[in-house]
Parts: sequence; structure tokens; C-alpha cells
Amino acid sequence: MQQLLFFLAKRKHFFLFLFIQIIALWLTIQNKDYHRAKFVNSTGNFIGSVYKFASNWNSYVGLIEENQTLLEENAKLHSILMSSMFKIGENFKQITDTNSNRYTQQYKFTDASVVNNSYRNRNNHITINKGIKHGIKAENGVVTSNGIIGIIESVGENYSSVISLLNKNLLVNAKLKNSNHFGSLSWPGNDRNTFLLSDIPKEAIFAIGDTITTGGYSTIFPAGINIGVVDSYEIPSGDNYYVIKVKSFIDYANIKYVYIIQNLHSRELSTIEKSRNTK
Amino acid sequence: MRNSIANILRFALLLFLQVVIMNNINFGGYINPQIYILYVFLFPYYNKHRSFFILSSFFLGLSIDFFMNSGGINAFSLTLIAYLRPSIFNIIMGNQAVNDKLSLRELPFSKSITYVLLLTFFHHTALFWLENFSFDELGIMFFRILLSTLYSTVFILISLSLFFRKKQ
Repeated sequence: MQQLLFFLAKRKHFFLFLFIQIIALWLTIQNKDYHRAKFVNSTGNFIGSVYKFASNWNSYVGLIEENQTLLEENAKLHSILMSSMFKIGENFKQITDTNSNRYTQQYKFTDASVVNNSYRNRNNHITINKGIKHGIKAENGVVTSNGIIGIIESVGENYSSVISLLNKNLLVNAKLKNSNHFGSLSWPGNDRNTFLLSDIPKEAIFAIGDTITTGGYSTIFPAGINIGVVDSYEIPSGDNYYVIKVKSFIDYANIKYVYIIQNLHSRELSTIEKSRNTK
Repeated sequence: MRNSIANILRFALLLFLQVVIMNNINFGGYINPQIYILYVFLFPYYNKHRSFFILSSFFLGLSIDFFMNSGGINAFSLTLIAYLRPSIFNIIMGNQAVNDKLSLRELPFSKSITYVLLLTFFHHTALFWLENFSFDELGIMFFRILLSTLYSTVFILISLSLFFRKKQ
């Protein structure tokens, strides 16, 4: 027994090292499964406020450009309002009839701003300034007016962590805008604004420059959110599906104001899908 | 006593620098210098507090991980080179340095470069491999490791020479 203790004592640094590395490895592995909550996240108030401090300084630099983008978006939204009246036969019908029983709200939008962005690693994460206090939940989608940012992974009191689209663990349902063919969009890890859309059947007809949007087949993102344009495409030999290179509309190095999307029907949808799978 | 305060200051300063400034610098689009590993090089070598050194390196790495949402990869890599430092130092600098208790500034410059390069390389290899956690992108990953090692080593060597100049 004493020999054993002596042996351990002599090599105490090695055992300390081993013990610590096992903890570190466990934290790493635990972090990879993005469906579970993570221990190591940047949603704590201390870290959030360090990032907020730094981003306050940074945001001054981009104010003019941001202003311009917001003005353009306002203009787009105004024009949609004007076209909310359309003619059916001889009568006018108004969509903005909020007392109508025909429309219930499915998607709720919350605005947020980015306090920390990363785009250089293989797996990137973003921290935003909304949390439990603002009604944000894990697995809510995060978008801008012209692109997908990612999915919320952990939620703190005031801040949330988003798994970025620039992350090798994220796959998003996407489709060609001008048809209903859909596939999976992922990030291959090279250029930060280039993505790969796979599983589009070879019968699909499209051209370079066509728009890719979200497909709407996930409970997280509604259909029709712009993602990017077709940059190039190929069919790997022996395969029946296209692999399309998509260039995003937005620059992922330059995001500040985002929208968080909550699908109020997500629980009902996933219950139905789960019961379908277990049948 | 003065030493421990200096250590704590280094810890906090390097954490802050890395997270707020260095993580936003990028060369070639995707490499950022990891200067928090300076902690391992600046920690006094010839004292008896190796356990404290290993533990504090782990916590520095873990703090960086918290900021970057990256699990335990920085913690693992930093602890790894903290553990390996005495062995690598002995191998490169030879027995004379250890016997005479020479400090880093008194040692030949070429050996210092090798020492910094080697430890940085181990750190970056562990870091990038853990981030990827597979063997499928080996070529690109290796290229990133090499390039990041070079950049980080340059930063570290500059910082080290800045630290030590005034003493002479």
C-alpha cells in the first residue's frame, strides 16, 4: 500500500495532468452535441457584459453603413404594406384585418443585436443580447432580413449563444426559390460566405444566379427567407443529385442587428413528426 | 508574494487581450494569433509550484473556452503544453541551463525560437484537432496549424523580447 502511495506521490504531476485533461476532454465532447445544453457557454452575465462593452466600441465604426441598411429595409417593408390590399374579383380584400379568424400568428419576431461574432473557426458561435428575460428559448431561429444567422443553443438570463450557420454541425433545410426542390445546406469550412446545398435531384432546373431560400420544412425557420444565390453546381460522378455552391447575400463578418424567430407551432409540429417516426 | 500578484495580473491581462482584441484580428481570413499561451512561457520556470502552474493554465484555457463557447479545447491544449514545458525545456536548452538556473533572456536566441516554436506547435495541433475532432480534413487542418503556429510564434517572440529588454 505504501509503495503504491509512494508511486502516486512521485508522479503526482502526471496524475494531476491526466485528471485535468480528462475533465477538459469531457467538456469538449459534451460541447459537440448541439442538442444538449452546454456547461461552457458565453451566456453568463460577466462574459456577456465584457462582450457588450467591446461591441459598444466597435459599433460606432459601422454606424453609417448600418443606418443605410436600415433605411433600405424600411423602404422594403413600407412597400409590402402598400401591397397588402389586393383585388379578388370585383371586391377588395384586405390582409391586414387583424380581427379576422382566418389568420393566427405563427411566427413571432424579436429583434436583437450581436455582441460577439466569430467566423474564422471551423465551428463558430455568436452571442446576442436577448435571453430568458425576453422570452427567448433554445432552438429558436436567428435570421437577418437577407440571410440565416443560426439557431439558438444556450439561453442565459440576458444573453444567448447562437450556433452559427458557419458551423460544421448545422444543416438547414433550403430550396430553390423558383421551384419546390429542396435539400440540405451546410458550410464546408473554407470561405465564410460560401455554402453547399446538397440533395437537389438531377431533374431540377435552375441557373447560376438563382436564389436559394429556406424550405420551410423545419420547425425552426419559416419558408422564403433568403439565403444566397447559386454560384456553381456539379453532379458528382455516379450520383443522382446536384451539389450546388451557394454564395450568401450577407457577409457573415459584418452582422449587427438580427431577428429571433419563434415558431409558435413548433411543439405541435414536432409532436406530430415524432409520433410519425415511432409508428 | 510579488510573483503571485504578477501571475494573477498576467492571467487576467492575457485573458482580456485574447478575448477582446486578438480574437478579432485575422490574417488570411481565418487565423487569429493565440497570445494567451504567453502565460506558459512567462511563468517562472525554476520554482516548485508545478501543480499550481498546471492548474492555473487549465483555468486560463477554460476561461477562454467560456468566452468562445468552445467546450474544453483551449483548456486541454494549454494544460498540455504546461505539462510538457519542463521536458521540452530540458531537451532543447540542455543540462547546463537547468543547472545554472538561467532564465529565458540569458539563453541563446536560436534555442529560444525552437523552444517557442515547438510548444506553440503542440498547442495548436491539439487545439485544431480537438476543434475538428476527426481526420477528414487533415490536409487543410495541417496547413492551418502550420500557419497559425508561425503567426503565434512571431507574436510571442516579439512580446517576450519586449518583456525582457528593460532588464538589461
